[in-house]
Amino acid sequence: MEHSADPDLGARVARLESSRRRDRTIVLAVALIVLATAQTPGPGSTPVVIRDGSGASSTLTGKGLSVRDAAGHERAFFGIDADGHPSVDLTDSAGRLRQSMYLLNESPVLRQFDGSGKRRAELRLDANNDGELLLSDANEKLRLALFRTTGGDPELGLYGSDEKLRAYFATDDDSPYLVMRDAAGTTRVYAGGYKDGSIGLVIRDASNAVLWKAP
Amino acid sequence: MSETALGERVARLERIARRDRVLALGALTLCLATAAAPATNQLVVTDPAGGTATLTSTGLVVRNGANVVRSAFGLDKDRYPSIDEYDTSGGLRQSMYLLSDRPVLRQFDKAGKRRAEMFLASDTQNGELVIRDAGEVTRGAVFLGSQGLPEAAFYGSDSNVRAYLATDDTSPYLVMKDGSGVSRLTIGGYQSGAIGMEVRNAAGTALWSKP
Repeated sequence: MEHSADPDLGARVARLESSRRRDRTIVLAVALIVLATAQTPGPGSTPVVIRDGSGASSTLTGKGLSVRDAAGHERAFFGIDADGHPSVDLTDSAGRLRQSMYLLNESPVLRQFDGSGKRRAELRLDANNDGELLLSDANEKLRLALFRTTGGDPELGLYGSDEKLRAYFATDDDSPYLVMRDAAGTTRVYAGGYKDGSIGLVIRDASNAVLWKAP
Repeated sequence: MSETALGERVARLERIARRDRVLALGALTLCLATAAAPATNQLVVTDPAGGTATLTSTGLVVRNGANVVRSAFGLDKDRYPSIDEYDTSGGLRQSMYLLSDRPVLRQFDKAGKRRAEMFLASDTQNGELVIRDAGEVTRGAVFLGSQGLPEAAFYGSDSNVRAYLATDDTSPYLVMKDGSGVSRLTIGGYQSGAIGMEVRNAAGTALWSKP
């Protein structure tokens, strides 16, 4: 072994060794910070999933945002649905769709479903872009509608369990009219404006014969 | 190795060590300056105006530049699936949600009163559209009643029904009542099965009827 004549050389080497240990600590710290704070790539194709301690989660994908409850049921969805419609869907605790607001063939629809999945209430624009409200029974038979007729008159219609019209109350620009029909479809009561411009009241029997009329 | 050569090697190592130290400290400073919180609880996106969209395990909340919640989607505080819209004051103005699994769409006035509502009834699951006044009293409604019959009804400010048009499978009927609840005018099907029209006075006595 060669002994150094420079008494400072040993101290310099010792400093180097100390420096190496410190630098190694810094590098490890940097690596830990990078790992702990790494983020999912922003514009990538990987879904972003946020969970909490209860098991509830939100998942953001290229199709929209889905929220699941602690039981794993999807309870709310916002985005483009399986049929390609922009949609907001709300699902009950059993996982059944109960309310949906979406564009069906480019037309806006809000639907409310019962526990059996039947459409019971619906607010939408029809083919003429006129608004309408539809209420249906548990058999999905239309029972009440508020809408505009093909002629543009606003109308309230009431329907029997056979889905046939029983009564309607409507108006044109001249006068309103109320029509009541029996189960056979015969008009039994007519009140309001006639096509000739007069206004009156008629009561008919089941054979359509006038029972009473005024004026 | 000569002492001179050894000294030069140590000096070179010292230069390298100084350079590496500067690089390591720079990397550490950069990490500390740019590190984000781990994305385990929420994801926050901020726009230049100060608005934020916050994604959590229960949904998405959007706040304006004044930090007022304007819209929320997901599970609400009662864990109902919901989409809510708030005005600039933070008041809830429109909400579509499932109330105990029952679909409801509600519109609120500035005072927070329910003014318009479309929903399925909790017992029959029949559909209803209800319009209320500022006192939250129902004034107009179309619905399928408890017997499943379609009906349109108008109510006074006392919440008592004044007029309704309804139908069963046999015949429709229109009833008009006064403030005391007495039917003053009836048109349509009677319980006997006949169809006609009747006018009564305030005591409920028939004044006129046809046929």
